[in-house]
Amino acid sequence: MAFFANLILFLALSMTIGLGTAWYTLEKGLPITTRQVGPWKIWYEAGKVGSDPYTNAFVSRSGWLPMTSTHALYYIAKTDSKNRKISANCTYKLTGKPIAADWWSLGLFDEKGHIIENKAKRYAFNSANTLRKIDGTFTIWLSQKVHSGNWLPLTKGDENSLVMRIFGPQKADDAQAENLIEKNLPVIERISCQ
Amino acid sequence: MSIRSYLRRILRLAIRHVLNWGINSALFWAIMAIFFGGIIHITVIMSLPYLSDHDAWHRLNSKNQLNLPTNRLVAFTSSSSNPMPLPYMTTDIRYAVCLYDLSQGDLLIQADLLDDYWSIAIYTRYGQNYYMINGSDIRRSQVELLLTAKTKSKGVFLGTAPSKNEETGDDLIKVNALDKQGIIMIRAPLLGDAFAERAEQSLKNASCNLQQSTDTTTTIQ
Repeated sequence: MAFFANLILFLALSMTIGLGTAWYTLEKGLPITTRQVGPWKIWYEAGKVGSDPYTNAFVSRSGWLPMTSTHALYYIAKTDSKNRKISANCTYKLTGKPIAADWWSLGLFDEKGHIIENKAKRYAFNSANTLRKIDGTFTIWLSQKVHSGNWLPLTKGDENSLVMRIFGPQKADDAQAENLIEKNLPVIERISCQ
Repeated sequence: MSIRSYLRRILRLAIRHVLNWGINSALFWAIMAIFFGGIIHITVIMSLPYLSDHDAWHRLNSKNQLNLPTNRLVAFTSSSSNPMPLPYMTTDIRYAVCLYDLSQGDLLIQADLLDDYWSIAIYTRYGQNYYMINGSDIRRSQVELLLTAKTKSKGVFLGTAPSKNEETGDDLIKVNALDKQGIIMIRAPLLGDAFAERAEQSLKNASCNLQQSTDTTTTIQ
């Protein structure tokens, strides 16, 4: 009897350890598979042939189809710059500097990666249609209420995410240039909550 | 009894059970659990790409989901933007997707890459992007790309910019497929809403056909 109790406990513990750590490494990423830049996270091997098993598992599980980092960089933020979830009950101010790339887009998605339907039909801003200051810096507002300037409606949910996709990152193989892009990623500041 | 209280009771019993063990026995079972937990972890991570029914291929191909045809290009227009077929697809890019199966022959992809950052990306069935060409890589906007299941001539190359084919004299780019099945995605990022119609029209005119086939693009509205 004691043996079977031990066995059941052992199996439960093994499953918890095995499945729990697998879930954690895919949900949060590991330092060897992801890079965290403030609130932004990049799976830098995503889409590459011969990428590590964790990245392959992440791509399969998410259903995402990314281009390799030579051609495109994808940064995902699920929190603001103080590590709080992006909630529809709050207003956020994103402040970014010029991004050295052919084209970039910043889009708002729900927790499953779908666009958030809204009456204004605003889902993303890109390098071509974002209003900018003379020095190239820009501000994008996320809120339920209409905001002047670059405004993305945040209509529902407490686990929204932002995706910054950067196509044709200039000299992507040059670590310094990539660092410069990452230094200029928008800061996500929570202004107020209802 | 609710599930939560039931689980709490099991946990209490388990803790009491462990406390009855000797230190050696507890250590033995703990080490074994960590070891087998590691095996489960590795098995899950390694097998997920082959077992997942949430990957891009299943989402596009599965009969329960989008069920796209193979060897035919499907353009996604703005009216079909929600829900997008795959996560994190954005509305300021126009997409066209072709699921390929090379068991019946080679595949010819024809498209206009009107801007430098428009691209054609070819993936394996498991989402590995093994070939990619964008507008800035080519000398003219029209791209003809032949995807073959195996090497047929010395002119076949992979992952480089197009050049004159020595045998035929044309600008056909030949690409060796890493897998017989996979996904081709054409992306047309927009410079603004005013460019959407041009991008959609261009993707409608693009094609992805078995060489002997005369299929044209299907558009999802």
